[in-house]
Amino acid sequence: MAAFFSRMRVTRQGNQALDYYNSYTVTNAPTGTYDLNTTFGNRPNRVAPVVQGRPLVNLTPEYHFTGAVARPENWRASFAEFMVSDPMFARNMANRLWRQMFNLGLAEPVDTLDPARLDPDNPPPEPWTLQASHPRLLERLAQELRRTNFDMRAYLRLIAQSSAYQLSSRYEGEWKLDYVTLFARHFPRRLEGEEIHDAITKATGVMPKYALPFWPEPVEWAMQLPEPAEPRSNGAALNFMNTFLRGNRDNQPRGQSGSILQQLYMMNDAFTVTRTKKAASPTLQAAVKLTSNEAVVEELFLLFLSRKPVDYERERAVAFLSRATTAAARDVAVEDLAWACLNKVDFLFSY
Amino acid sequence: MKDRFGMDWAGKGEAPFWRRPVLGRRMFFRHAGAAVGGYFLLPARPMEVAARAAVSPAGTAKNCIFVLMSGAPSHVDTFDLKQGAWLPATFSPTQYGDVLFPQGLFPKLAENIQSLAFLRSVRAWAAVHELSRVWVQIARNPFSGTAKIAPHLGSIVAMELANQSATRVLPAFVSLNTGSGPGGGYFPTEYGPFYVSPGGGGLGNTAHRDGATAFERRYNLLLELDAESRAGWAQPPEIQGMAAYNIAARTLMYNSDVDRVFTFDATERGRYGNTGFGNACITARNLLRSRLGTRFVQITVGGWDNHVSIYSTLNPANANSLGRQFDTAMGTLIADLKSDGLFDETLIVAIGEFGRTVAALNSQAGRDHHLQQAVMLAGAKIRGGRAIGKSDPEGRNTAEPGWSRDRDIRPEDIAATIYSALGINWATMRRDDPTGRGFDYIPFALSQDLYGPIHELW
Repeated sequence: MAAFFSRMRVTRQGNQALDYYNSYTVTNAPTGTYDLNTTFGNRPNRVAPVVQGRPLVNLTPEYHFTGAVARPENWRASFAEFMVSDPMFARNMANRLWRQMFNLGLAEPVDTLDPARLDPDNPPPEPWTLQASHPRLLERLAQELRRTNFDMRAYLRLIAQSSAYQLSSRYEGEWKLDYVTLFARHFPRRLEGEEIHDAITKATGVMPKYALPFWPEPVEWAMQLPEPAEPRSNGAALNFMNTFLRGNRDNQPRGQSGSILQQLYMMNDAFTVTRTKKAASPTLQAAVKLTSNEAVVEELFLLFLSRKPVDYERERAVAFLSRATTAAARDVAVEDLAWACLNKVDFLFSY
Repeated sequence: MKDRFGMDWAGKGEAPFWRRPVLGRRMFFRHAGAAVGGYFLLPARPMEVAARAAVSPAGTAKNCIFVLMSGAPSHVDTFDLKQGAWLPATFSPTQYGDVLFPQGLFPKLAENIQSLAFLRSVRAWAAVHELSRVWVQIARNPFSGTAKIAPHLGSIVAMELANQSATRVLPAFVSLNTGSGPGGGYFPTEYGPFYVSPGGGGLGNTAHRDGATAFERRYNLLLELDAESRAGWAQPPEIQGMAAYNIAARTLMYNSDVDRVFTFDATERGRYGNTGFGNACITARNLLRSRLGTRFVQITVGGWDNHVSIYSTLNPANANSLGRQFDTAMGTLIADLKSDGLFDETLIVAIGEFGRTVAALNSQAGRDHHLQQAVMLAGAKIRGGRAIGKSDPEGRNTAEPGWSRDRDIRPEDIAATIYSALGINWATMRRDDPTGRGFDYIPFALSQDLYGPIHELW
């Protein structure tokens, strides 16, 4: 594979003392070869194999799985073409995006797909079994991705409109372990650090601005950050998101688990507490202007939880707001309610 | 009502998440069967161990204090002192039995020399900071297949000893002045490092920014709004699990036991040297004293990467130099643990990621990276006043391994020693890892007995 990239040049932009570089400029070089008889670098010397009586010093790259040879004008583009036309690429994308939506891949673990155990028309010999829980579905989804030229928006729409995706996360009746791979209910997914950050931003309307080294514009949404070591320029936001296990490129996988620390941050950290203040939050300023307490409660639930309150929630929240006798006390009560919405257990989940 | 693992939580009430029912044999096989379908990646999966070798852990310790001397201290100026024209006289090299020790640099440790053991045949695998620093914390090559999912030593200890603590208010693995590095790997987050940088003013985010009254009002509202969700009527089990973390977090807030651990005054800070490391040592002592569930405390202390002017960082004449600050805090910690009676049940390990070049200093009066290193251990009823292994006269290589395996001591062996001291079977292979290839506590300890504890310490 390295041969495909031997006509590529990479320039690092940014401060090389940082753990992770911020950006790279990639350019194509018109010439360059992948040499097989090198004696330099931090590795054993390589001796070129002798082919037809002559040492084979350099190679035109070819795609290992099909034997296709790279076009001379652009090796890197050839690699991209070979890769996306490989059925494994589509299966992998289909499976990963499925997992993103359902919190469980059709084939797990998503990082170790086995090409020999995925094709339902060529099943592996006994005692091996097909890897996916629904091999035909995965194959159809992969075909759909290729048919639409990897239109991810269309693919996600397809999934979101399926009756499987729209199942409740509750299961009426006794839940059995065997039902897990049948996707008989929706599996809730804890939001990732960036999603939680953006959910709080969206709900409160408090827009941050994170300057990124060597980026032309500051960003407002955590989803725009180039990588989980950012924003270095704002330690509070960085710590807040990392508490939700963003991981890193080297030794920490991204995680979905809960933790005590996450809950302490949600309840008490400046990041959440200052954002649920009327003085800071445009959405709360708009909410307190609503005269009816019912309307305020409904507005806050829609803002924070993207749903209307159920009856008992509405009743108790309205009762809480009604206890305030002055306008100032009502403002505080609305802030309290905003804090409570943020800390309701379902705030952190897609369910 | 049974949850998706077929377990009935009725009557468990507000049982915290660590008191989950243990899986029965039948349940386990059902789980194992379903794992083939890959569902074990779902949150809150049960954890299972498959194989353990028949070994006899020492089991003398209940706790571990793991001091990571980040930057790689010079072994020949500290735990494996070598004399030469380069060494300032203020180091006062003093012979205690077999052990030549820099009494001038580490006066308080010297007072406790009969309780300290030194490993002098230790060799790092690589002289690259980040790589080796992770290596000593996960006991394997950070580039190896299981490294990406490997939990920190402290997380394995936390997982193994979780059920042995009567009180579990605080997390089992607390990491002081660390901030980043290997975490809980694929283990549930409750076993991951709980990062604190203590200053003596209490634990962060355990007091509400708007005050206790406002918090009570808000939290009561929250419980009112959440009552049905938390009782499990309205929400699936994954979301109920998060509520358990919320309750655990609530128990840390406005909790006088917790406050006592993380609050200390100027006198106390002064005794430990008024440094970040000193504050961490006080906190470590308080954590073990409180018996609130913490079993593994890591303290990270940086500043040992002395390529330049090493004898101003390790300056016996300056009580504020790193060497003396380290001694003040460590020495006071050991003395306090002894007077508390905690010393004999606590293993203390002080280790860097590798050693430094030997003999005369480099052109900038410093020492560069070198594989040979030395490690200090104390407590847990190990026999002190001794050195295990010998390096050659310059400290460049191991001359005598000095232990049963008759080779260099490696970070994997030190991890096995920590597990052994805590009564944990180091030759354990778990089968609950997401890669499906099995997770060895110590690589190849079960299959090939490749690494093991230094039994000679006891």
